[in-house]
Amino acid sequence: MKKLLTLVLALLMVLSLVACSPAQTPAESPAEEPAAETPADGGDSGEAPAAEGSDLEPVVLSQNVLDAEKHGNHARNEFVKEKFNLTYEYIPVSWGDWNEKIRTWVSTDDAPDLINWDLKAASSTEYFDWAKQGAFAPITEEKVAPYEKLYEFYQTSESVAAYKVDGELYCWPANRNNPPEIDNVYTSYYVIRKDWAEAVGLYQEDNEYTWEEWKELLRAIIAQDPGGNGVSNAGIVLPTWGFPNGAVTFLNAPAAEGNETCSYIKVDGQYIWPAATEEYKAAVVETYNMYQEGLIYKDNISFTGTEADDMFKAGLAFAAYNVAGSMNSWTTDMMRDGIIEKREDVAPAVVYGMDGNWYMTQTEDYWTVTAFNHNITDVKMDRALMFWNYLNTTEGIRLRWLGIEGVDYEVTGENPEDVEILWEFDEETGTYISPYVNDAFNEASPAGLAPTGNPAEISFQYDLQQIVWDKMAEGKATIKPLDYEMSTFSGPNKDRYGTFGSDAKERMTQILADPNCDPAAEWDAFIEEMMPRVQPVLDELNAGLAD
Amino acid sequence: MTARSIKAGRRPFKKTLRVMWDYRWIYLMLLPCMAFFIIFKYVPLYGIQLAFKDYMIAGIAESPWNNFEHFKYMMTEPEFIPALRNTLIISFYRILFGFPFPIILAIMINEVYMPRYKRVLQTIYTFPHFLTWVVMAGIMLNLLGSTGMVRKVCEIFVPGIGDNWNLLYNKAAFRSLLVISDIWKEAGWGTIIYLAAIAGIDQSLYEAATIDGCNRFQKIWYITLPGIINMIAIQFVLRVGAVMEGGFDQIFNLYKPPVYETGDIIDTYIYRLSFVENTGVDMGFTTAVGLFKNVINFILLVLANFVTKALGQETVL
Repeated sequence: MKKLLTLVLALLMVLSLVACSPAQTPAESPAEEPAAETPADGGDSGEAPAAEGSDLEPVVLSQNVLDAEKHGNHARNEFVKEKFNLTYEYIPVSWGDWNEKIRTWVSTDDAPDLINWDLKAASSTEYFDWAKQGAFAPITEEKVAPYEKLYEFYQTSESVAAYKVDGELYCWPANRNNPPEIDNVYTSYYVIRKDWAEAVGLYQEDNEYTWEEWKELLRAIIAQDPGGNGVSNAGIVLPTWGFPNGAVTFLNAPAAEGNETCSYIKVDGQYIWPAATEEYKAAVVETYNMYQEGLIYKDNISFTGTEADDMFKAGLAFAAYNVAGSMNSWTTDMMRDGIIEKREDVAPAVVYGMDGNWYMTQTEDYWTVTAFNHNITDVKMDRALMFWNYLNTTEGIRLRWLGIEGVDYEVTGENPEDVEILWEFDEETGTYISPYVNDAFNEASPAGLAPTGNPAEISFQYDLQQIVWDKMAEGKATIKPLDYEMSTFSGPNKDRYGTFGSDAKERMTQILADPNCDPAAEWDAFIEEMMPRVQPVLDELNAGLAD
Repeated sequence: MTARSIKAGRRPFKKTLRVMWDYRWIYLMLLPCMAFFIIFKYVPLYGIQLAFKDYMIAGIAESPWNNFEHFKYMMTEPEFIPALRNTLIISFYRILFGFPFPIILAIMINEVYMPRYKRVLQTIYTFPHFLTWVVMAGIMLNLLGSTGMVRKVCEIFVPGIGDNWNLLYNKAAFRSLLVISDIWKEAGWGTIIYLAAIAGIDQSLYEAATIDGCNRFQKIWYITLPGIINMIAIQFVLRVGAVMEGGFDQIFNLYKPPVYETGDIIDTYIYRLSFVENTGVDMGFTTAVGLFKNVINFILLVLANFVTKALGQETVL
């Protein structure tokens, strides 16, 4: 028996070793590459023509991506391999460890070829420091110039100008591709259960609420529990990046910038730390009162991932603070799970702040940047730029939206949306069934976000965004601009301490968790404690940038 | 053998080599272990110099010396001293309450007569060790959170107690929460080594004690405990040597800003400084803090070893 067991164990070990070996090695030599087919080049006129795969030297690029396990095995990857002789090696990151891995990789000179980075202007000190130390390869104008779509962004983007170090750019910002009228405003707002608001009789026309109406609505939701959730019934839930400040501060204080907890703002020509203003303190006190009253979900404090979104989608919460862009998938999930009957049961609410203004923050003109590792070869960099440029052409946009011509769509006109979609249509949810639903294509993200208007998507999400944008156009929103000059300013104290945003967020959370404290006094004490460290940063900013 | 080597009490080198050759296969088995320690424990010691340098991406050797700047900064950084204090207090609590628990549990399990029941108990107590702290944090949230079972049960007996329910983020309760959850998760696993030691005690001693009329408590006191005292001493020395390890995994998964005051330890402080604050990682500073921590650990290990030796017990050094 023992011998048999030993034999079985040994066999299992051998099998597991075999199972752990890579299925196939990316082809490095031209001889190993599959014969390149020649799909129609739908590039716009005047752009650098993309050479066909068979004419190009094979290239393998490593890049960190979210959802790495969903990459590399679908038709779009094969298409890229054939058209550009380009294979990707996907290095996994998650939302939780993304910046942590970037910091570790760059600090230890162990980064992938393409370092995709969730860089914000407010935390760009590190980027400048690393660029000066030679961690990244420069993206010179000569390199970009042959690629029309990229060059256009290179010449006009504010962030490209802001991130140059001694005249050279060291990271490529992924264009947000927002319509110009929204001025790169971060359209984050409360998404609410409109049907619940109606059920408690406090729904306001156009889903617009004054601050008092908003609180009354929340109180009614908590008291009447229209969702029948019992003890789990929640008013507001916030994502981890927006807790606790998202509840009130973003809506009220002229302080948060680019959805950071707080940064520095210029008042009367001088920089101040907004956390030290009376408006910010009033927002902290209001957040405290709402939390103690139970209008903000008590266990939100423990969230570490997507629990806020999940609670809303599960029908346990009335309002979730988040960015636009998730509504189609949220409402589809909620309908499928029987949480809502129709998509219109969920809608964005316009909530005017305590002073009657509806504050929105401007953000960077990009979402993530991609830096090239300092030891990348010219061939690799050139291939990446070629691929990114292609992704911004009509055919490239269709590749991201839909997939491959002849397989996923047929062309019916010149514009990207002029297509006939070949996917199966689901009458029940009113959506196309994408064959790529379990696949990811994040190697495309450095090229910029795919523009809105994907014909395969239902218009619900765009309609909702349009409501918000229309109100902005009516002048109802007060836009807090992004100050690139301040964000990218370098000085010994600012480089060391940054914006103290984490400190402000931490203390706000501590105050919230203490049911017996005086929030105003606690906040005053915090400001008094912090100012000796904040003031040297302000002095640097005012010496360097004041009017 | 020369007179000199006999005087020194040493084996001649040639003989040593011959013995090593005779047992060459045994020594060969030692090689992977040695390689592990050399590669992962000794080679990285080169990086300690970062504690005294301003790290540059060009490499450790190219980074300039900085005249102990990191240590000076460490002592002036307002969060460092509270983190150090928390590390020591939490570790002290763990030793005071957590260290004896596996010993008591091992003795209790050993006193169970039915072997099958004993094995079931051991499995039940050991199982939580295999859950990660991520899972444990989820379980604790579900149990102790504002919509958790504990609140609901407490509400039944003390109506209104749940109005300001804040058990998970109460800074006064957080250290107790850490110690209790740590005992819950690790005590069963900790019994294994003591049960092994108890199994090594000569059974004739128990038989003789029975003949002499000892009851079960007397047998535990006079036979079992003295039988495992050396193991307890060794474990104690090792535990004291790790006093600056406050339990990163556990605290990282359980703590939030409201309990930083009592729960932030050096490891979580370094992590926050390196990966959460938006000012970027300062490898020199974090190395300095790590070095400081390890020097204290080493001093405490030597001290505990000395005290244990002075008390006549077996030691690790």
